[in-house]
Amino acid sequence: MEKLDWFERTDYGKLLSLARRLNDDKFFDVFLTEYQLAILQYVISLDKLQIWESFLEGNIQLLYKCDTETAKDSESASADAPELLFEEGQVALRNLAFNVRYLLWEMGVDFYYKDGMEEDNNHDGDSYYKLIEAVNDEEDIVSSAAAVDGSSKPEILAKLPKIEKPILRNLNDDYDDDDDEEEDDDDEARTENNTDKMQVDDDNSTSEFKFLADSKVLVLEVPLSIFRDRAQQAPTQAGYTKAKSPLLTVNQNNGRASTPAMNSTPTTGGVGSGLDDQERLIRDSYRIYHNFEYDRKTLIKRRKLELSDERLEKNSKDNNNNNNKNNNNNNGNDLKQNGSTESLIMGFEVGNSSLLKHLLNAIQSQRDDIDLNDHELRSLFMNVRKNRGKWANDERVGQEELYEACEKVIIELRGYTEHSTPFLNKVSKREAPNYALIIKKPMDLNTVMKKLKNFSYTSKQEFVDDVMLIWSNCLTYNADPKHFLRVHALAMQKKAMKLIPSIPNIVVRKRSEIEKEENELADNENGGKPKAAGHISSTGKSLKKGRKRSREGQGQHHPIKLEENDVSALGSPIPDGTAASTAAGTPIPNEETSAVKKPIEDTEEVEEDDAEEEDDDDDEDEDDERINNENARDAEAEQDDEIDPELIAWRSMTAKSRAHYCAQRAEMFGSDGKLCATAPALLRKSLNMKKFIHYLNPTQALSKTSNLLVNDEPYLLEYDVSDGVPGLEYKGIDEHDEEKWEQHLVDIYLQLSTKEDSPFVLSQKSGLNKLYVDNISQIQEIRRICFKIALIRQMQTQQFLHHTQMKPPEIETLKEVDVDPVSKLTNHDPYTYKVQYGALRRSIAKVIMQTGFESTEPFAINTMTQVAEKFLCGLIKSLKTHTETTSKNKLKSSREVILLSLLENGIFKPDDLYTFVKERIIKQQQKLFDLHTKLKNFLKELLRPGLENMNEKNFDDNSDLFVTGDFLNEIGDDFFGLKELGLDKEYELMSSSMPLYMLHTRLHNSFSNNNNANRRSKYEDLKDYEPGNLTASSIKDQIGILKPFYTKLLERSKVHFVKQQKKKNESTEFPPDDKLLLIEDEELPQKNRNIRPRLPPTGKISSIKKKVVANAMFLPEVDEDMIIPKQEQHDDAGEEEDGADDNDLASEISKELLVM
Amino acid sequence: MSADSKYKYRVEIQQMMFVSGESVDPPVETTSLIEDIVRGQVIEILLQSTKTANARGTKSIAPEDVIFIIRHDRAKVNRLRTYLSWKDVRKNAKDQEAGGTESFMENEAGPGGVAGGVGATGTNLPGAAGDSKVLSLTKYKKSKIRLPWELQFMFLEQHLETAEENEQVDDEEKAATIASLKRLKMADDRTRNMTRQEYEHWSDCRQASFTFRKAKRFREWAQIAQLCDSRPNDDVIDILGFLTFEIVCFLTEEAMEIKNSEERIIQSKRSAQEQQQKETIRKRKYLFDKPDEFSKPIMPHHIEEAWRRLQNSDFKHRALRSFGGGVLKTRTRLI
Repeated sequence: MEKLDWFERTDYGKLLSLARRLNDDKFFDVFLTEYQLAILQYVISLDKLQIWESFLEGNIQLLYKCDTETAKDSESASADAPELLFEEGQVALRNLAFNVRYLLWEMGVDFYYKDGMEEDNNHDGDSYYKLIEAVNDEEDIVSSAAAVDGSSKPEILAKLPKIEKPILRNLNDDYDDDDDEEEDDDDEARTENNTDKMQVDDDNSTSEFKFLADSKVLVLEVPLSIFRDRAQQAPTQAGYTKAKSPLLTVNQNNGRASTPAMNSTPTTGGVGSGLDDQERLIRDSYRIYHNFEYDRKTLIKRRKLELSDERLEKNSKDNNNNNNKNNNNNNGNDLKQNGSTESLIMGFEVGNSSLLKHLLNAIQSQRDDIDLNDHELRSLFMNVRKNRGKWANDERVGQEELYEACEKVIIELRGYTEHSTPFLNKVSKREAPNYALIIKKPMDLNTVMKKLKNFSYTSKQEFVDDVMLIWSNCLTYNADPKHFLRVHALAMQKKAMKLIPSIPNIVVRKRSEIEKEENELADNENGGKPKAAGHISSTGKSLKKGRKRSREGQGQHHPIKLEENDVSALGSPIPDGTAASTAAGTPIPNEETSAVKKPIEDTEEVEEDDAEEEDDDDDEDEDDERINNENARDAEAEQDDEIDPELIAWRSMTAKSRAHYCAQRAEMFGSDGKLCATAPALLRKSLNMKKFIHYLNPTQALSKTSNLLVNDEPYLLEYDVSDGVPGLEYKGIDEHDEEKWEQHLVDIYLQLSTKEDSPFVLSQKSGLNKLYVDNISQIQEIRRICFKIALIRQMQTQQFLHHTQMKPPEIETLKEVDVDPVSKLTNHDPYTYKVQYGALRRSIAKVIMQTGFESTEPFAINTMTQVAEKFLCGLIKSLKTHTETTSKNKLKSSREVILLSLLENGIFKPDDLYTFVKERIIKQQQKLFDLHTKLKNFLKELLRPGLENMNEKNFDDNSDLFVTGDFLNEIGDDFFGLKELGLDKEYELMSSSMPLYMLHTRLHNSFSNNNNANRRSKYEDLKDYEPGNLTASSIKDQIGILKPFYTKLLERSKVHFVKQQKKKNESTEFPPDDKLLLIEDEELPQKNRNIRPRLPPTGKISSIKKKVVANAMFLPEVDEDMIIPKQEQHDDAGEEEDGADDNDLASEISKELLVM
Repeated sequence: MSADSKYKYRVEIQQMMFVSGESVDPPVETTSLIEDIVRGQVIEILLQSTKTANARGTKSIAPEDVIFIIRHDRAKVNRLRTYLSWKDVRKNAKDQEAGGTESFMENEAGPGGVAGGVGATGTNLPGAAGDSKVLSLTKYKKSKIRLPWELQFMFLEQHLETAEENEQVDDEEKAATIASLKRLKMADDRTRNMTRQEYEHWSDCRQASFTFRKAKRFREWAQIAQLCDSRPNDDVIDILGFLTFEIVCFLTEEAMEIKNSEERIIQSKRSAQEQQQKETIRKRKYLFDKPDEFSKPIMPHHIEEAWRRLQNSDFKHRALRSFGGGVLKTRTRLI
């Protein structure tokens, strides 16, 4: 670990050597864009510690310096390339510096953690480790250099501006040899000059590095040519040779860069390594912070692509039909005939492929059940597939391979939605009215696809030309270097350049032709041999023939190197001797042995034309820009991000799956942007779950599974909502479970309810609640008394009382009911708004009742509760504000806080609360008690008028006196025999008059009736009892006093029975005694019944109208309670004869009197 | 001239102010200001009591309506009740023995008289005489004024009151007695050093009233005809008279407090300077010199400040709005 010290210390010297080595290993190629790479390599190649240091510190400013030679050659094109992606100045370079720093330090991290990583497949870790080892070994060498630079550094800082000499290098083909720079530099006079002047400090004129006077910023002048060189070399990057890089394990099949790469090798080596890079990038992508903001754009672009796919499909079908028609018309054209037969086959194949799709889906869905491993499955699959390749055609040799590769490329390009969207379809006239004027040969991806499907390509070159034409068209039309489409075009171009080497260089020929040639070859005994399979891989022979054929087809094509296509497209040919000077369109002398000549389409010509018309375009471009202003801004934003290659790679790799995920998720939402309840749920898929596990265990490469199926998408953990969730053993709830749980809860509840009190039941035994409850029940008691008083008053004034008036008001006693009885259960939260509100409402209701209200409207009590709620909230809020304030004057003690909060909420001091309780509740209790006793006394007086204020006048008006017997006092006789009966004692009478309350019998009767009714309703069990009929045998069981009565009754019933039997003409024999029923009065005929005393109809006795005055003496007062049972006793006596009309009061009274 | 047309109670107000401690004749501006304030208060009282009367369903203002407005000031309510019950007594007495005690009763009728009537212990002259007579008067049944929001009216039925109950002095009456005793103590303090003439003048002033024997003037002044649908009965006018007296006293006391504190501040500022000056310039006193400490009358700005202080809305009325925001609308507060 101590080996990594210099990362901590930021040892620039070591970092530089590390960077150089990494550069040699093409490490940066993957992560940096072309231009960044160019600059970095330039900086490294300078090999000056100070420049490197300020580069890493970001203290460097970029300044482009035009090479005079190139400027002369092509002024128009020179500006394009670097400025688009890299701007002059400090910012861009600083970004680059950060990138490089990150990459370098990442090495350290990788190394550090290498021990923990799996060692079997991680060759990178190995190499890094070695690399760092190497750097450490190199220490002595570096340290010496560092010592030199270190000594010069303070000096440099001391005197400003210090002029540094750059080593300007025009990159030629042996550029890569960084270490022998001195030798290389020799061939350029200016560089030589500079190296000579390295020690000269004051040479301003030739200096290319200088500090800015005020800001200690180095100015890095970079010759533009490096970009051009890079651009030129770009296609060969894959095969870039590193002579001194034994560490890199990727394939290096190529020779030195000075020899143009062979076309066949990149397919095996370069692309392979490219794929490796890609994979590594993706694997590293977890180190990137990506946000979701581009997902929408990606999704939209994806949709566009899908749309155009559909359109393409439809078109091709139409074409097929057309072709078929043509076929029917017996078109003589050979090629077309071919095409039509192909299309038939293709149709068949399409059918097959759709079948294949189903198979794929089936496999995918049942992946877990198949015990083949991925590799086996893949090989199996590929076998099946190969046989049924849709491009296969026996007649046309090599077509299958070529077209398959081409299709892959085109699909890849189309799938690169980050940039491909503008190039999917033809440029419409609406978008660009003058497009046709400028672009002679429009091309787009769909057209290429169509052409491919129509088998109109016969060689790789044709295909490549078409593809490259798309970008060059775009670049031509949008000449403005800042146009946003150019970014896309360049990116696509780059992508295409990467992909194109993967296409085998095959020229499609007819079998017959090949056979013919084979014969010729056999004759000529030439070295190259066509392969047995019949398709051509990469032999010179076939290529010759390719050329021949292409010449037959399109005579005007110039055979040039494929790699130079890019250069020419960029329009910046390099006047180097070795650089391909193909801009003019001249064929290159075929010096290299294996160099392949390829026909190229007339891009150069178009280019030249475009150059002439460029001026005209500008205006339109501006219009375009205005229209697409928004797009452009987006593009610029993207452009900023594009500096990070990892991000780019990640984005392009994952575009499809991201779009897929997003589309899936978008389905969850309705058109109004709200969650749609009816949308299908996101389902877990076993395959994705497996991927998730893969993801968690990074021992296996991420993309391993993705290779299985062609159209598979990389798995994105962060987008996958559902599959990462571990499985649940959840069967759902059936009724049985539900019941069980309910029962369980009930049990708990029952246990709890006996044990502890609910928090919502206030104790009535103490505290304020007791006072309130006492007061309320006192008030209710007083109300009851008031009712009685009111009733008596009414009886005095009204003639007739309806029985409803006599009904006492039903007053419910206050009971403490649990507001939320289930709150004791553990799964219940008592602190919900509803429960708490209910509790508060109860308390408020008590307060209201205590204030004197009998009942309230629900609306009123709710309003009151809300007011109370608001007040309490205000109180709490002010408490909170005072405790949580950040003010300097914050109150120290909680006591002060409480006092202040109370004050602010209207409670001047806590004493007020005490006074309130004292005055309003305790005092009221006393008052209520007084009032209660007073009213009770008043009621007693009403019931038993006392002696006072009785005088003669009372006798004047009414005959009631006769009823009450008040006059009897004057007679002085015990007229009613009350004394004799001892009733005077019972009723505590001193006089012989009737007490008033006896006259209220009727009243009491109705009362007791009501009460009885009430009681009956309460005890319903007793109501059903009916006395059985008496039989003759049961007479002896009766009490003695009744026996004579019953024997009489028996006789009568016997008589009655005989009569009845006679009527029915049945035997008159009596049944046995225990069967002989005694008849009851109701069964007797009318005349035989007991006659009840009745008043004559006219004899209406008026009800008690006036307070009857009785000159009676009362015994000392006894509690009312003691009297009432006696009254009831009395009532019962009266009740026996009940059943008569209410009017027979007199008779009742007389009877009562008799009873007494 | 204009004062004549508009301000009609200058003398009464001056007298009332004198009773509550203002010894110097206040300027016209002060009395006019006080009169305006009092009138505003009277109008406010009338408006509010009309509202409560309407809520009860009647158009004319009953005494209860007026008392209801000041119900929270229990001491005041109780003094008012006492006042009204004595007024009742007076009426009865008038009915029964025409004119016998009338002269005395007139003395008692003024708002100040209420306090004096209950037990003017500190005063030596008419108070003592009143005392004996009051005792003799109690045999005329002093009916208690019952207010409808008392506890017993919570229920449908009321018991008949016995004489003993009437005689019972409840807590509220006790509170009223305490309050009136306090006032008497104050009055006692004020009158302690008075000469006989001064005291007579003072007790004359105590009887100053806005309404007593000038009910018509009062109605016109307070524009009762315009404010109320029906003519409020005499009781209401009497209550208003009582209340206006209270208002003036209260305002004056508050203003005096303000004045005193103001003077204290000025003196403390001055004293430093003056002490130097006084030491140098120490004059002899001459007969026609100005008095040394010329006490100044209450000026309008004192009244204004007092008014402002009395109108301050307290937390109690703002509490429910504390976190709600918005403007708190308040009515004029009754003093």
